[in-house]
Amino acid sequence: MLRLLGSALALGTLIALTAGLGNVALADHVRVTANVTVAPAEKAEQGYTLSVRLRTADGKPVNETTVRFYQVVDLFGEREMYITSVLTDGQGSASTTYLPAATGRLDLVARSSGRDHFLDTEERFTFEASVAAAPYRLAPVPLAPFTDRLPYGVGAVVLSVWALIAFALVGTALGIRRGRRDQRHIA
Amino acid sequence: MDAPTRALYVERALWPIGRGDLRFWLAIGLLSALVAFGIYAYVYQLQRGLWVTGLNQRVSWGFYIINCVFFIGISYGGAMTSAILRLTNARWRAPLTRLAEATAVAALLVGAVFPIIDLGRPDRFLNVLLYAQVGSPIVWDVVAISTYLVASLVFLYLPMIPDLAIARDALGARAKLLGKVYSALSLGWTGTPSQERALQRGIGIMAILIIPLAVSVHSVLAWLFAVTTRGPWHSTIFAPLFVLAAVLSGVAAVILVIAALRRVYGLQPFITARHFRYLSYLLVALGMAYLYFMISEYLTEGYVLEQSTAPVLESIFLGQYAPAFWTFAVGGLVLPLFLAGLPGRFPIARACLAAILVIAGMWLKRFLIVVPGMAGPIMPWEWGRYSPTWVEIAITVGAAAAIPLMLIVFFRFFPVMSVHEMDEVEGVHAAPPRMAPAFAGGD
Amino acid sequence: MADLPDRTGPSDPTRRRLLGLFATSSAGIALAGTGLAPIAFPEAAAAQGKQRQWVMVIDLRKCDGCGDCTTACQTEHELPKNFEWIKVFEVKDERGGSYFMPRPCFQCENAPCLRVCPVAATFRDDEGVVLVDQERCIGCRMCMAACPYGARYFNYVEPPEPKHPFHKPTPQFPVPQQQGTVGKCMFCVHRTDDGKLPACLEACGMEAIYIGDLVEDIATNGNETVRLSRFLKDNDAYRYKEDLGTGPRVYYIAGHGQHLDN
Repeated sequence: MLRLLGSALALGTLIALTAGLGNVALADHVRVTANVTVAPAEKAEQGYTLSVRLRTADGKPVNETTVRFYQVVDLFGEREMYITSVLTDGQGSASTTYLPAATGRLDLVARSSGRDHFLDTEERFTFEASVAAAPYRLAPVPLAPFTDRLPYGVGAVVLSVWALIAFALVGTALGIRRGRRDQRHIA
Repeated sequence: MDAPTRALYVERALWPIGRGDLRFWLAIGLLSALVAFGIYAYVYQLQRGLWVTGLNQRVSWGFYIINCVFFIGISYGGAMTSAILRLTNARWRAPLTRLAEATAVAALLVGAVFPIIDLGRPDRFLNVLLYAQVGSPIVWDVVAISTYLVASLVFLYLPMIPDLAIARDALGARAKLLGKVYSALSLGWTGTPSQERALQRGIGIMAILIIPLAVSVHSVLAWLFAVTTRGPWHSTIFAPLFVLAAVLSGVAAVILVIAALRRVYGLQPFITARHFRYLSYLLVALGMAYLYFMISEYLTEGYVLEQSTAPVLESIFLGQYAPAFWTFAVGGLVLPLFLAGLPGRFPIARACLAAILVIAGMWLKRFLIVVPGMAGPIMPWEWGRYSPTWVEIAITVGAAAAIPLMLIVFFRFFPVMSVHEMDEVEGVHAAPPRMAPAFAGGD
Repeated sequence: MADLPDRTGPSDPTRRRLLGLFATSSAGIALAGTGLAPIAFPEAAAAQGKQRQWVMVIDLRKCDGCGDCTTACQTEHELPKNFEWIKVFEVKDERGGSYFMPRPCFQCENAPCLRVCPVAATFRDDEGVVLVDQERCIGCRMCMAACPYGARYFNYVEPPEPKHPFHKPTPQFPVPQQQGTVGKCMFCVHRTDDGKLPACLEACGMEAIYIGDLVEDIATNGNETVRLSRFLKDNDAYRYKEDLGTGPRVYYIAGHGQHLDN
């Protein structure tokens, strides 16, 4: 009886050890996959909802992990523009809203930096955005409708001044030439 | 005015013509030397670049812009005497108008050259005409000054037509070429009523036109400064202030010119102490108005002490520029008011002294507008600095000498007083011009 | 009649409009006008291709006043030593402390220098950068009087010996400078056109200078890339003396070098 107990205990310990060891072996470098979905946000002006779900290979959720979102942009070479970061909850899920700057095809990256034994992971995804923030507009110059027309008015004034000067000079000269023939004068 | 007096008037008006005595040539020589020195300095600058001046990155406008404003301001004496006094029917203006108008044209020519002297690439000056931007104060300047110059020339010429006819007749057979010039320029004037009417109409138009033109020129010069964002410059009073300063300095210049040339040409019978007294009253009235404008400007700025104006204001009243400012305020503005305004003896001498003080003060005031405005901190931590070099001083002196030089040369060929204007105010309808007996046998 | 200078890239339509106005109004003499709106700006398309609207952000929390930006700019553009197109000011506050503030040209959207130039030698290209055509500049220095930031520099002297004697200067790459004309920072458009970062930004060891695009709403300092509008909002970025109505394109993040210890 004692020998059975002893071997059971030994076997149990062995199993437990192996299982434990196996667990430790399994716990190192746990691969994590990120599953990202994009959907239009609740309110149109919020843009899109980016949802991410972190799972291990056997489907267990990875919680309390930071996921950073980036958008791939071309600004002096290809760069990743930081959007925001979220923290996964008990189900390994997190979401945020994102209003892109422009419509069109957007390349995004979701990057999780891992935690403890969970590996970093990265997921690239693309979606076609049809909702975007208002494009940049230059502030209109105040009074522009008035100042655009003003030069014409002032130009007219300048031209009439020149005309007057010309008239004063030429008109007087002509009047004097013509008046020569008028011989009547007061002695 | 009786006939002998009028004959004397005509004789005196024509007296400097063709008269080249020793004094004349000495004056020409001296003034030409000064002008030549100024031209040499400009050529020196042209060859090397603007670094020969005292200008720098902080204070990029200096003597040349000051002189532009100053000399164009001097030219306002003509507008004042000929136009305003004509429209207000001040009869005492008659002997003065020719001198004033000629000074105006001379000063205007000198003043208008200074922006070109100031350019970094004067060879490209035509770009202003070719690529003119209607929003630029510089372009407004070019238009206003050129229009005003043409108008001043016309306003000088039209009243001179009858005088040229008198000169043509008085000259007789003496100088054929000059006689031909007079003939051409006098357009066959014989004093008939219809000619008189045509002339009056022409002069009347110009007299009315030249006043808003004069106002526009100095307003535009003021806006060169006032449309920037620099605190001491960005002030609505700048345009009226500049116009008033111009008329003030113009009247002072007229006082000096007639005082000098009166003595040289022997015009004492016709330009008397009375004229100087009236001009002094004008000077005082304008000076007091200017004082008022200045008080308004400095009170408005000084009460609020915005960051953009306070440092400059402090430097003007108490700091680096205080000597210049108080010299101007006391010596160039308040003292002349008393000199010219209080009754007493030696009206001519006092008027001249007041005029000299006013002119020097006005130059200082333009300096105080331009340089502290440029040197004052705009990025609030750095003051600029400016001290002129010999190049700028030489060009200034040359320009100042050019005005009397032009006047003396001009009156060598054209009558120095307006006979027609005197006839007008005296109500004399002159007979067709005859030889002035005193002149016929002159040397 | 002088030729219109050689411009790379799209020409400015409003200059032609103004020339047309000039031509029709009077033969050869300019009209007196009053403050016309500055050269009107073509509307920015919403991220079609790479139509940029350049903007800079300078993080004063990181600036240590070393002046490497100034030196790099002077080297890049072969400038004399007193030409500080980007100038680092040491600002003293009332409590005796100080911080450093680099000041490039702000490329104002409502630029006073543009308005007052009599010959349109200074103009804005379609990326929002204010350039100077030194072939046309007459050196009147009205723009220098008008600039509230002192960002323009006049070539009083002959510039140093050019390193590329056969290079013909353009407004986009005004090297060498011309004596008697005005020059200023132009956001290194000759580099940005080539996909290279501005010289000052590359030289900044603290990565305090960001260059950005208002259209795509992004900015980078060479290392980090951020969403511009969010970056400005989160850091309470401000523009210097914007109450003058100039509409500057350079934002500052207030600071006194506090991030230098990181």
